[in-house]
Parts: sequence; C-alpha cells; structure tokens
Amino acid sequence: MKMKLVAFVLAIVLVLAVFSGCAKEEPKQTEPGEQVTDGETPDVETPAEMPEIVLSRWAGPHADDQKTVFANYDKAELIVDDIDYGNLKQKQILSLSASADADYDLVWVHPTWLAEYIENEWILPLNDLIEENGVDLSIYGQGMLDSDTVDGQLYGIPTFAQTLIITYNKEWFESEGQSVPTTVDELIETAKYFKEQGTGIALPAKQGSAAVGLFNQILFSASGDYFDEDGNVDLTSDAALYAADLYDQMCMYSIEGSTAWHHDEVSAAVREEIAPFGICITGLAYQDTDPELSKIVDKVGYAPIPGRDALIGQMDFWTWSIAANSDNIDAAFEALMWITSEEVEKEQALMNYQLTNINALAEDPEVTSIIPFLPAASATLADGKLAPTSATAAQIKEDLIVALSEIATTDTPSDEIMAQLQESVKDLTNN
Amino acid sequence: MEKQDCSCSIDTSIGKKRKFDFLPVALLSPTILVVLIVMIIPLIYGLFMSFFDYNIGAKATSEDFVGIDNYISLIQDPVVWKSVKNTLVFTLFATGGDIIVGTIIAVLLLRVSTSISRVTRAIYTMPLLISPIVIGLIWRYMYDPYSGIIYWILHFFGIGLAEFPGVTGQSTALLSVIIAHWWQIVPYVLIVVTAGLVSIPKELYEAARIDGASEMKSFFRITLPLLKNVYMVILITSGVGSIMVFDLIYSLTQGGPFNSSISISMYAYQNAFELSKMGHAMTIAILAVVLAFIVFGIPFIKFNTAHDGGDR
Repeated sequence: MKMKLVAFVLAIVLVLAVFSGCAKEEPKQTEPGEQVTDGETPDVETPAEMPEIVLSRWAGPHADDQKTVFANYDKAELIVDDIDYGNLKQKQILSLSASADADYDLVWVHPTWLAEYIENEWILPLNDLIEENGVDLSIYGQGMLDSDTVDGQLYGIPTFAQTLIITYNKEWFESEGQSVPTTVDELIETAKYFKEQGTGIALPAKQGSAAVGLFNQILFSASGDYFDEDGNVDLTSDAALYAADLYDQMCMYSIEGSTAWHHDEVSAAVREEIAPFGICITGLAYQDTDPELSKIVDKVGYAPIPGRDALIGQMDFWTWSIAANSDNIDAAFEALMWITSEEVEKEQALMNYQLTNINALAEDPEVTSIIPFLPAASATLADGKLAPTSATAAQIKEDLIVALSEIATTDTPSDEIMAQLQESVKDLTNN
Repeated sequence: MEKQDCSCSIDTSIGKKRKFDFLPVALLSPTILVVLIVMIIPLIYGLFMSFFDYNIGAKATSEDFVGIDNYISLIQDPVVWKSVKNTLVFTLFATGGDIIVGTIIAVLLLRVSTSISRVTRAIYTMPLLISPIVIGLIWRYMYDPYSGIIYWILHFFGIGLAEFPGVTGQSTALLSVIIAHWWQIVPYVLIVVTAGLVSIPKELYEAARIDGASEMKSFFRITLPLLKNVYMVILITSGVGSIMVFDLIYSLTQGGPFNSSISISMYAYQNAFELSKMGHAMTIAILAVVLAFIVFGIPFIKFNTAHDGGDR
C-alpha cells in the first residue's frame, strides 16, 4: 500500500512536470536571428528609449551586407530576421496574421505575395503616413511604385530590382568567333553553335519559378500575357505559343544539366567557365567580378535578352512594407524611409551591386562605374513588366512550372503541352 | 512453465466491489496528454479543416465550408495520384534498400576485427548527424554533372549525363533521391541491425555448423528470423519517414522534372504555402496519413496483436 502511495505521488509529479514543460517560458531578451550565449552580457547596451524595429527578409550575403548598413541607423535598433527564402513567406504570414505578439514591424515582400497581403490587410497603406511626413516620392522610379499601388494606395517602397540578362564570357566568344546575340534568331544560332561544340547556353530550366521567369520575359517581349483583354486565361495565344516554342529551342541547345539548374547554378556555370553564356539573374551578377568566386572577372560581358517585338524584361523586385500589426508604426515608417533613401540605397549598390529604384542612382557615375551589368539591366527594366500577381496567376504559375519542365525534358511538342495547360486552366479568370 | 501465484489478490476481491485503480491511469496520463496534444488534436483539426476552402493565415468561417468538395477535387487531381505513386515507389525502394544494404553492411562489419569495425561503424554513422535538408544540398552538388563526385566516378565507367541523367531526367530523378535517402538512413539501420545481430546467441550458429548448415543457410534460417522484431522497428520508423518524405525532395529536385519526383508531402506543401489552398492541402495531408496507416499501421497492429498473443 505504501509503495502504491509513493508511485501515485510520483505519477502526480510526472503530470505536473508535463504541464510545467508546456508552460510558457519567461521570454528572453533576445531577438530573432540574434545569437546570445547564456550568461553573456551584450557589449553595447541599447538605450531604453530607442525602439526596436524587426525586419523580415531572406538570408544570404545580401542580408549580411544590409545588416552592416542598417547598423548605422541611429533612431531605432534595426534587427534583421533573415531566414531561408523557402520559409520566408510562411514565417511572415504567421507573424502578420497574429493578433498579438507579432514578430515583425517591416517585411520584405515579393510582388507575387503583395495581393494576398493586401487582401488580408496584413500590410499598411502608406498614403496617409507619406502625406503627414511630407515624403517626396519623385526620387523613385514610377513603374515599380505603380506595381505596389492598389486602388490608389501605396503599400510599400520597392527596391532590389532584378531581371534576367545574358551573361557571357567575352574571351570564349572571341575565340569561337561569336558575337553577342542582338536578335532572337542570333540567340538561338549562338546557342546552337556552342551546343555543337559540346556546351550550349546555361538556362534556369529546373522545375521551379526561375523557368517561369524566363518564359515570362520571352512572352512579354512578344507582347503577350497570361490573360486576354477580357481577363480570360489565354496560354495558346500567338505570343504564348511563340514563347513556349522559343523556350523549347533554348532548352534543346542548352548545356547538359540545365534542366536541374536554378539561377545560382546557371550563374555558377558561367562564372566557372563551364558554359560560355547563360541567362542569369542580375541579383547574382555581383559574384561575377569577385576573384574568389569567379574565373571570368576580367572577361565577363552582359547584354539584354533580345525580344521578338520589343525589349520588355520581367521586372522583379522586393518591397519594404509595414506590418499592420506592428506595435510601432511611426518608428517603422521612419525606418522604412531611411532604408529606402538615396544615401542608403547607394551604399548598398556600391557594396553589392544592388539595383535600386532611385532614379538618380541609375545615372550616378560612381554607381555605373562599378556595376558592369547596369546598362543591360537598365535597358531590360526600362519598359519592364511585373509578372501577373493575382491568385489566379499564382495557380497558372504552378501549372506553368510543370508544363515548362515537361517542355524542357520531353520531346512532346511545346504547342501540344500549352494546349493541355490551357485546357486545365481555361475556367480561371483574372481576379 | 510454473504458474504465478496470484491467489491472494483474487481471494480478496471475491464478493467485494472492485475498487478502481487510479495508478495505471495516473502513470499513463503524461503520455496520453502528450499524444493527445501533439498528435490527436492536430489530426482532428486537420480533418475538420479539410472541409473548408480557405487561405493560409485567414480565418475559416462558415461561408468557407465546402463539405466534401476538397475530397472530390482530390480524387480528380491527377498530380495527387502521381504523387501517391511516387511516394509508394519511393517508400518501397527506399525502405527496402535501407534494410538490405544496412543488413549486409552490419553482417560484414561483425566479421572484421573489432577495432576496424568500430572505426568503420563510426564513419558510416556520420550521415545520421546531418539534417535531411543539408543532405539534399550535399547531394545536389554531388549530382552536379561538371563538379559533382557522382559523375566523376561514373565517368570511369563510361557513364555520362546521357546514360544516367540523375536529377535532370524524369526517369532517374526519383532514383537519385532514393540513393541520397539510402546514404542518410542506412547508418541508422546499420546501428539497429547490429544491436539485433549481437543479441543472437552464438550457440545457435555453432549448432547449425555442427549440423552441416552453410553460412548462407544459417543467415536465412537463423539470422533473418531472429531479426524480425528489429526489422519491424525499422519498418515503422524509417518506413513512415519515407512515406512522409519532403525535405530531401524539396532540396534536391523540388518534385521535378515534370513532377517525376513529387511526393505527397511535397504536393501538400505546394498547395498550402505556394498556392495558399489550405483546404486542398489538408485533404492531401489526410490522404498521406491514411496511406501511412494502410502501408505501415495495419501491419504493425497485426504484428503487435500476434506478439501479445504469445508469438514469442
């Protein structure tokens, strides 16, 4: 009986232990992304009155550079929570949809997420704050600002523009007697030539969004879109079929391995002289002139991807927006305007070749002298177009990802694949 | 066998109202609580939410209730069935390979000297310390046709990307993921099987040898039957892990090319976090649970019942 009593008491203790384990722990004075060792005292104490602004973005060398620049801000402590890109949206949504104890004040939003964030009222319209603070928006490129404007309300300040351009090895081209393609026909001819020599064009043809980016750029340059004038899905339009066929031809003359490559592998293939040229994203071009990463430092060249009707690149950028559930909206707005100011944007451009949306910087001699791909990127972005961002477009994009993978890896004619794709999404309308 | 003397407890209970014994309940309650909180409640919640059509982050309301529509679209979605097929193929070959390769290595390591086997076993088990997502990234570079070790080795046998497309080809993408999975999980099987092997009495092998049984015969007649319980543990742990495979595919192929390596979990993830179709994603997740139960749950229950019934 005594043993039973002891065992019973032990069981009660176990139950209590489980509950205490589940209990909310006293929050530590650490922030996301910050590493603090137990018992370690921070070297610098934050003044009590200085607010903390937590920013959410993806991790990588660019984030590290940004942290260095943000450390100079003196009106608040800017804490960057940089996480793997693959998990960024989920983590942002979890914070933005929280009714209390939200993690973020500022979020770096991709244009394709913007509609969803606005629809759920997760990010704030900035018009009133801009008016109250007398902010001059004329320093920014209007095209990207327009892309962040819905029903007359601006939902963020765009920055870190990206687009696809041709990166090529000048020396390799010269030794093979090839010139930089300026028309679509020349592009295919050049790719075919190098394929016959055992290499080819490096393409981001892995099943994923990078392939869609290339398809979009071809589509936009052929004056096409996912939707017709009435908002119905039209992926068998002349432009769409042309884009699919050109993508198919490019895949045919691509270097082996391209069907498993995303942007980073394509850039690396050109940088490491595996491929003579490739379709590369400007966001990784800063590595081309880094002697530790690149074998083509002195021989890299850039050119816009030629279009059928015009040069219309797929414009891609990131937008700093204020979380609607931020506890410190005024400080967040002040920080937002500082991090997207000309001074800060220029510092980042010089540091890591970031393409900004500040008009003056595109002509700043100091900037243009150190960013060799700026002319090609500027030409591509001048009439750039944002990929459709509606929920319908997101559904189409997912199906298009698979269709483009089929085009890249099978012998099925591209028009047949596009016809099947059109059939599967024909009932969708642009919302 | 001698019967245990439990007459005292039987005698005292005769003619009396039997008291409810709280002790077993109290002892089991922490486990029950944990299982309830982290497994049963989320499962019921997932099942409930699969009848709604809502976006991630948004609150599902009565207007979002769609009944069994998500299940109808599940049946009509060809990618679901492709992902089910891929998942079953992956599970079959991944788990089968784990067991076969793990057993072979474990048996071979027991035959070499202790000092060598200790060092070798430690080296073999190193992949266990790496997370699956990192393993995916490691293998992504290993499969690189220009700088990866796989094609460097295959090159000596005259095999290039054309003969073995690896992650770039539809026919070999899933196999490439399975190979990476073996590299990760075989060490676990090696440890468990080794533990099983050393527990088999040596006398059985000596008796078999005296009776003239070959080594192969001893392996199939003694070793394998006595490892049955060990294999059941591996099937449950590694097998269920295989049927839920996500991170390896996510980091290695993203389900491509042309969905040739997409798994159920990967497709559920795409629906939930890339398309924000939470209701559809929930139904896919429920399908994954049902599949795991059919493939591993039912055999496990049967095994457990046989075990309790004196199959010892």
